[in-house]
Amino acid sequence: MEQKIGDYEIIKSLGRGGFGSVWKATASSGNIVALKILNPQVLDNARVVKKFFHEAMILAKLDHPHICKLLEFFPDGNNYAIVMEYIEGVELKKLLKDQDGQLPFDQANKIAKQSLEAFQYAHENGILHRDIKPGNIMIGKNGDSKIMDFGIAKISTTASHDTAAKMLSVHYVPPERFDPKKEIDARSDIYSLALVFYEIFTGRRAFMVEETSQIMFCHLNEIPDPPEKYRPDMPHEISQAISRALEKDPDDRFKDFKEFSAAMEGAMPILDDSTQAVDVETLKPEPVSEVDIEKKKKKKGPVLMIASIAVVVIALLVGGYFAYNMYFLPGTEPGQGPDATVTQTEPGKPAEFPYGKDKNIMVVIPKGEFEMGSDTYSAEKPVQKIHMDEYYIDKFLVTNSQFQKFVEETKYVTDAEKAGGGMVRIGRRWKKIKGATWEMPDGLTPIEGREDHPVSQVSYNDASSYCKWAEKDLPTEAQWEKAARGPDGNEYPWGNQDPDDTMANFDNLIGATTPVKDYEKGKSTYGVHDAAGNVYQWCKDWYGTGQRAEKNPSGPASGKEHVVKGGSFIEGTESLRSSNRDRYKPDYSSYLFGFRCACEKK
Amino acid sequence: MEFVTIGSATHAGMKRQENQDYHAWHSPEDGSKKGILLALADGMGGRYGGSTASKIAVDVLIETYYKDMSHSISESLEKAFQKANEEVNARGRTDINLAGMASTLTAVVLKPDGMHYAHVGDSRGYIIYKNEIRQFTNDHSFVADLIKAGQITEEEAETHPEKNIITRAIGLESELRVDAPAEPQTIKKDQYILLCCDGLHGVVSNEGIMSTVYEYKDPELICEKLVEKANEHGGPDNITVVIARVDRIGLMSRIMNLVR
Repeated sequence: MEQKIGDYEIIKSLGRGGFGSVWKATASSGNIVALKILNPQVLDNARVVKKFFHEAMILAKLDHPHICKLLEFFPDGNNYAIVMEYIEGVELKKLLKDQDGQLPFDQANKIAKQSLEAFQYAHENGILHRDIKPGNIMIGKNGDSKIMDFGIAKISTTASHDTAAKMLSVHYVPPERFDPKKEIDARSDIYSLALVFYEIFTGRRAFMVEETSQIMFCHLNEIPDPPEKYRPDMPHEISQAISRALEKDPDDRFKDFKEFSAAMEGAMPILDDSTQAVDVETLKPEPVSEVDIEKKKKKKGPVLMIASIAVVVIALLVGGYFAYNMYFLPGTEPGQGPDATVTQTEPGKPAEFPYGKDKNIMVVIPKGEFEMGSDTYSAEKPVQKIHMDEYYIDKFLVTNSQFQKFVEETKYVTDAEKAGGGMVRIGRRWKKIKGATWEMPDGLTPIEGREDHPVSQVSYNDASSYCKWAEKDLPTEAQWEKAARGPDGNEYPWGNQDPDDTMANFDNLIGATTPVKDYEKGKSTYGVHDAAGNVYQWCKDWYGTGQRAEKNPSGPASGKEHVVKGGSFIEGTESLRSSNRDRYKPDYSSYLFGFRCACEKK
Repeated sequence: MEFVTIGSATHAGMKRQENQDYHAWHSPEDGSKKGILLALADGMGGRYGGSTASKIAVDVLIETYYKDMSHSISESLEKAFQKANEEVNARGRTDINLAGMASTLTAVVLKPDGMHYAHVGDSRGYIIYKNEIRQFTNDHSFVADLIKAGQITEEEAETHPEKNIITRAIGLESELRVDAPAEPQTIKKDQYILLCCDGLHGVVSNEGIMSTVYEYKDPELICEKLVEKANEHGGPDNITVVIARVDRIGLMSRIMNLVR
């Protein structure tokens, strides 16, 4: 390629940055340089040109071992060219990609320290970066970091007024950047750099979403997990410092890079600041008021739960007394129902068969006693031996595609659709989100491609209507609980050990629903999947507390709210316990709520 | 006789010297299996590359689409978009005069039994039928994403300082995410399918577009009039419009329209 720009001989393309293309070139002196060609076509605008030169002059004065030096700049036709120091090495972006996991701690720490030095120096000289990302940090052959493209973002934004196709990676963009009324300052760079640190220490991004609008949404609303969750052996102070630098409100971050560095070194006490959320414990709403505090203290990890709205309601109902309605299953007609297709898979294993209009696989739960309830929370008391007659329950949660079929056939309109939206958790708050329906449970992500995930953003009414259509019923709480924990009062479906990521979708490890057949290892004694995590599951019972009927209990005769069970993909271990329960009004619809069907022995 | 009538018009506008838009359509002689492909591209950037980018994008798209042997139209469109992206990127890497060029790309495949589309960028596709106008493409722009994220309203987007930034385009990155739904859209007799760049939709309102369609009826004439209208409103950018009018539909479409 024999091409020339100014006095520079182009050697080859080095790729594209956010604001133009980068080329390896030879200066007339023989030195190898990197040449950046910007895209703006604004030479008719004298003010912008002047501004460009002004900025570039300041940039050229930066002289620091960890900043890629700007050597020269000149207008070139309709464009600008910026000549920079040529660095032999690899972009941090590529390093992270090749590593496919965490960087060794010493390497990550070295990159962090050197970057902090560079940014502190630049800021003291009045220069913001504005476009910090792994693609702008070069790791030289000796392992040293060099920050590239200081201030270029500023030049480019002041200069463009045409349609500009930017490689607009919003993965590292601070929330204030999405509000044109808000100023960008050093604290914005701190946020972006903290996201880079998050990645080099943990091997994963703070927000695991790809769609641009979802990334924006996360920057604005989602609180990332503390980095140490993904790298337990990293120093606590580094994890804390990164979390604080990622606060949504710039006022809650460090005020400059000096403070940030000090906190990373552990030299600055940062815990006395009440505005930060650096501990997992503080990230989630308070548990319901009935908790046995002693027990809670012993338990590690995040506790419940759903909205604080519920907390108040639950408190009001404590001590309330409900009459229970005992009801027995009606007699069964021999020869009816699916018996012909029942398959006894293995001796001792419960039988399974597809049943109902949705042909969902159902598990036969044999008649007999089981232990219901627990002493952990007063809402779960008492522990009681309950006799259950034989019944059937869906092995898997009702999926999006099954629910779709129901809607297509019946033209059913869900409660969230009628209300214009359902409940979604935004950061720490719960909000009714416009457009959040079963077809777009969080109001952002359509269910396309997730046909085998559980349907969510459905109310009790919706779940109940589906069951009726499918010629089944919602499970009573007792049916649900027995199917989940088995006869012996296990804590969780799989037994008594605490869950890990192979057993259930919980604790925001994935941050979304997962296919209903994914957690084979987490299935219950009876083979029921997702009885812990993924989505909460509606039960037929009205909510009540206290002593239950001894045989086939089905809750109080009337009430205001229905029971939900099983925890969800955002809840911690506590909610995954099979005796755990919560309750919501029949028309309450949330992106964490789904269901499975049950029916009496046919 | 074709089942659609197609027209188009393009103009540099009142402020630009160069027209960096490009458009084309192709109607194969050997029957209807692959359908009629309409494509429109709005090029940008590069030292001199904007018009090159849009031309490469459209040409590579058409060639690849008709060569591709995939069973589904959406798959062929997806592959053709990826190929166009590779080509524009490759040219930008070897010629410094073309470095940094990129282009939007919107394509529609019309068959008597329905239509498919594929799309990246902020050019748009509209369906106009019975006095209703509906945009069937999603804008891949910074402000469209801000609206989706709940940060701004549609009104705020219109005056947003960064409404010119698009987030997906041919030639921008080696990886490209294309909107190319597998499901066909039904077509109806007397329906208009309109593709345009932001030189039109940013300047003439949806109502203005629709009233022009129903006033002039003939695709070629409508396109000319729409370009005139955009220029009357200042013509700040290149303007390109492609319109197909459905004159008759296949049996399947007729049945589908009946059951809907």
